[in-house]
Amino acid sequence: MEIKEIEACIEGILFAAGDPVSIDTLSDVLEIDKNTLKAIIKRMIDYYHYERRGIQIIEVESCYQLCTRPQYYEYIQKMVKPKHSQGLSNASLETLAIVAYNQPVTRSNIEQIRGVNSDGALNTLIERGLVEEKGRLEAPGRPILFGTTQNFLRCFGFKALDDLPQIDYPDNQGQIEIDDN
Amino acid sequence: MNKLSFKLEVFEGPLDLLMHLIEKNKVNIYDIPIAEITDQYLGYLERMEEMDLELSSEFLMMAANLLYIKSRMLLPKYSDPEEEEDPRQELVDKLLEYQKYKRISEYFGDRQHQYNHILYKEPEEIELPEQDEYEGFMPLSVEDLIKAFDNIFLRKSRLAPPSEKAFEKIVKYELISIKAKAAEILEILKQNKRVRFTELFEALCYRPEIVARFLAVLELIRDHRILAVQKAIGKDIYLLRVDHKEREMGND
Repeated sequence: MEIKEIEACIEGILFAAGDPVSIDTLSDVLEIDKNTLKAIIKRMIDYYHYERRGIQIIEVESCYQLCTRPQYYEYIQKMVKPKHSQGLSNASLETLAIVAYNQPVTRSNIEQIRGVNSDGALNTLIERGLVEEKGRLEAPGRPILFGTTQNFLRCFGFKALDDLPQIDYPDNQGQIEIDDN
Repeated sequence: MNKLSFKLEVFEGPLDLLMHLIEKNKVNIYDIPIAEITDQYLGYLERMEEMDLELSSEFLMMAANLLYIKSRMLLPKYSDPEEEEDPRQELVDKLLEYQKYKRISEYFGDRQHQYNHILYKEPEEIELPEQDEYEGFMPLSVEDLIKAFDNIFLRKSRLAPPSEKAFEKIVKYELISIKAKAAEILEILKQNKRVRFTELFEALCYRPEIVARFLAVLELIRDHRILAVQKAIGKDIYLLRVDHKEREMGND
């Protein structure tokens, strides 16, 4: 297949799939090795960016997904009237931060760090598909362990957990900064 | 005074409130003026009570903890000050840990707004043309069916029911009509296009009932109302309903 054809195939597959498609699946379907595919997709991603197209391909944990470009949200929402989705509360965001950086964690780990009961916040995160159960801790009571989902990475624009920003040590006043490059 | 004239910020918990006070007073976390901060903290709790807000127990526990630290700070130190840990240390560690996640949560909050303007599409439901399900099946002889039936008996006997004699006095033999069984089979086949031969007998454990159902299968095959097919010798046997068109073919 010519590169152009491969690109067209990938585009079509990602459009039809809607959900993220793994590089393994693409490689199986197109019968092309993963490294070549990755290079081709990288080129497509750059092309969509460069041409400021209305759609883009995003990468999350070696999966690719077709979605709209945020710049055109204003116009898209005029057309579709999206469901009113509220952002997460501070309590939920704090809980999410603790889960993201310490996974897998138990309820009591979270409560210890936040200093308050966090069940409500945790349930909201589970309902939104940002956090899920990741087995149980082999300790008395076998408490449930929680971790973040692929949906979390997607919603917050991270490619992988390694992509989360570093946290600097507190300065001499005890103030902490986030190092986001 | 108008009761609703002042507004209180809502805090996520005692640590959140403490961080707010530390930032407001611009003090060093490593050297918190405990007496001052404790007063402000208690003042806040009082205002919450005035407003009839429900105070969670965590706020009260922290108040007790602050007073305890304050009292320990007031006590004279007899031992070497180098050795003794600062009574505030535990609280400082907690605040630093909490602050870390508070900063991340603020960062997540910004990012959330940035990224929720991206829309995704639901997966397509793709329907493929239906393939002929019975392709490759071959018709079966009565001997094959009898063999399959023997298998079922074998399987049933392996389940070893509690000695049948134990029940004889309670349960008498029931008369079972083959016609009724045939109707049952046709009913099953009406719901499912086809059914695995063994499946027909799975739920049955009463011997006469199994026999009756088997006889009904044989009769239905004889009357060309159902068809028994198999993909290859030794594979599962399926029973199919014979539609009118197929029935004529079966009459040849």
